[in-house]
Amino acid sequence: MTNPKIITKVNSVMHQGFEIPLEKLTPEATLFTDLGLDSLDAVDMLVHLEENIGIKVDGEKLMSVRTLQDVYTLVDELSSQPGVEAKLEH
Amino acid sequence: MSGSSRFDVVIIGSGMASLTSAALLSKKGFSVCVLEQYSKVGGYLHCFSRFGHRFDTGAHYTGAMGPGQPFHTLLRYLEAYDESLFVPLDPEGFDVFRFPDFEFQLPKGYEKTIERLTKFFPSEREAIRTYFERVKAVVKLFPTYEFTDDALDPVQLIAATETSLATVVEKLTQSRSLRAILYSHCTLHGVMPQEISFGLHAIMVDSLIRGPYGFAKGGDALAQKMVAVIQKNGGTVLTKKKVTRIETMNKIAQAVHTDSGDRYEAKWIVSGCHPKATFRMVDDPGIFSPAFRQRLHTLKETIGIFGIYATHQAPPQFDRLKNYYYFESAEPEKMLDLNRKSDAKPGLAFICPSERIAKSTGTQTLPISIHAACSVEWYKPWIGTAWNKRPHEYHAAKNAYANQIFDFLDQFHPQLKTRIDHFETSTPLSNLYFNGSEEGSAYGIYHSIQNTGARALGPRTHIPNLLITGQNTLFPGILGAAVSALRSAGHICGIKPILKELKELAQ
Ligand SMILES: Cc1cc2nc3c(=O)[nH]c(=O)nc-3n(C[C@H](O)[C@H](O)[C@H](O)COP(=O)(O)OP(=O)(O)OC[C@H]3O[C@@H](n4cnc5c(N)ncnc54)[C@H](O)[C@@H]3O)c2cc1C
Repeated sequence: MTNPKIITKVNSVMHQGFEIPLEKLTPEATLFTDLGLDSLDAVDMLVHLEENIGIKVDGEKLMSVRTLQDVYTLVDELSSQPGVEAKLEH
Repeated sequence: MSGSSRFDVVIIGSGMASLTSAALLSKKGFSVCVLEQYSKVGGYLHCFSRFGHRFDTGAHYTGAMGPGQPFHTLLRYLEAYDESLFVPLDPEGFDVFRFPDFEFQLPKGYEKTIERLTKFFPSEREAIRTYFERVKAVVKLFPTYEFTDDALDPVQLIAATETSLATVVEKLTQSRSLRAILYSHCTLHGVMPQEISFGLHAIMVDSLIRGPYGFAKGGDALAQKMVAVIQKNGGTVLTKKKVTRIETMNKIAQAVHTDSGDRYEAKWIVSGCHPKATFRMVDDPGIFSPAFRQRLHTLKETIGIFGIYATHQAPPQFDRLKNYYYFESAEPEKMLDLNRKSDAKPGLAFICPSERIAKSTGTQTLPISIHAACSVEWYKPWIGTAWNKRPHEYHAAKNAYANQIFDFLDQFHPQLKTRIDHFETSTPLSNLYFNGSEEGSAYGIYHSIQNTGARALGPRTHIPNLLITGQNTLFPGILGAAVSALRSAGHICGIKPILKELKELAQ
């Protein structure tokens, strides 16, 4: 189970960063088909998540991300990095 | 007079990256038009004359220019190679690194470098060999440098670009002096060892160790040669055409507009100016997501460079075929003041002779460029003023820093200033004025591991037919700019066959 704080934070980052309506942000939504992102947006997303959540992602991990749930899982795995907890509260 | 013309590709700027893109695309049969804001082409390739001598601005030396090496091959491929434009630097020591208590001269060739370093640091034999083996191995991962696509392993490439130089070096050696020597070339990209990607640093090191060359007739001559190639291929190169707007329709670029009121329609636009400046020119900012705008906003710039262009009396203390680097400390943490913003005191400097070939025989005055790190902040009150109309206070501030640089160099060359006949100085405001650089930075975007590899900007943008090229998209340097153009132009005309042709030509 993904930490609900992570879901809320990732959704808010995606909503603000890409102006995607919140109701579209469901775990099974695919980034490219359902959310209308392209490969360049995926890089912006990575940088945006890193900036706003304080995580550091290995670039190669991005290659296996397909759905929003994959993003939640990725952030969840990295949420023990220093400083992340505090950023999840805001 | 205003008008409208149509091309396959319009290229903004005429720095090395723009000229390379134009030469490549025109060779492939595209109609191209290069638009340069300044009255001369070349960007940082351009030279100027003072005190009867030629001075370079941003092209003092380059690498990978030996026969069959990447830069040499690329220029030959473009039919822009001319042997008389380049001069091999001293193979016994082309870069002289000077620290307060020791000096190291970097020779040409891996074996010689390893041997000399090992003589210097006998107990570091393993570390030295391993370091250079890793440099050699990592550059092979970059397809547009080694012209190979077959062995491309994206996972390895990303790992190499996301590992810092310091991470690699600190694991190999505890010797602080050896670390200092291996970090000296960070002055060429302006990024600290903890933040520069090992892969990018390795390309710079590899290119210099294999084929260090000076510009025999200055960078200008290379720019002129490139223009001649573009024109021979049917392309157009125009100066005094500052692009002010990129016109779009339905998120597709249609044309560019210049300050002279002209409109140039194109199927493709390649921009060689700073990405921030490029995206500011796009007439529909709604194309860019807030996430992208924030990403762009958080990118920082490299430091500015202060230049002193001087004539040194005969007999000179400098060899025409060497470059000289000076560091206030050999402590890896203190030797590079690349993040220094407020302390107006030089901690490093580098000196490059201009005119690598003497005009005539016999001892004579030697033109030299002295560079030191500085911040655009120091000159903020005068931003926006014309270069020839700045008040006394600006010149006083410049003179004060020039004197500090001479004082700093005094420990290495006592009385250097008394051996200088004339000098003139430049600040980051010159970069702003002549080159449209962002914040007057010397090398454009600060290429830290946070924004290289998977996170690098370009060559593609959110506008499918607008590409960016140049030092900001890959890494700085004339070579970096040329290689970046291979990627940008390759996106338009297909990179794979070009890499294959280049590889064949290199053999
Ligand atoms: C002091 C200094 C020393 C250096 N020494 C070396 C060296 O020895 N060796 C080396 O390899 N590298 C060196 N470099 C770095 C190297 O010069 C640059 O990395 C490289 O030349 C950049 O090329 P570019 O094509 O990316 O950009 P640029 O050369 O900056 O070209 C950009 C061009 O775009 C034009 N432009 C900008 N805005 C517009 C607009 N709106 N419309 C039209 N045109 C526009 C500019 O006028 C300019 O001509 C040095 C740099 C500096 C500052």
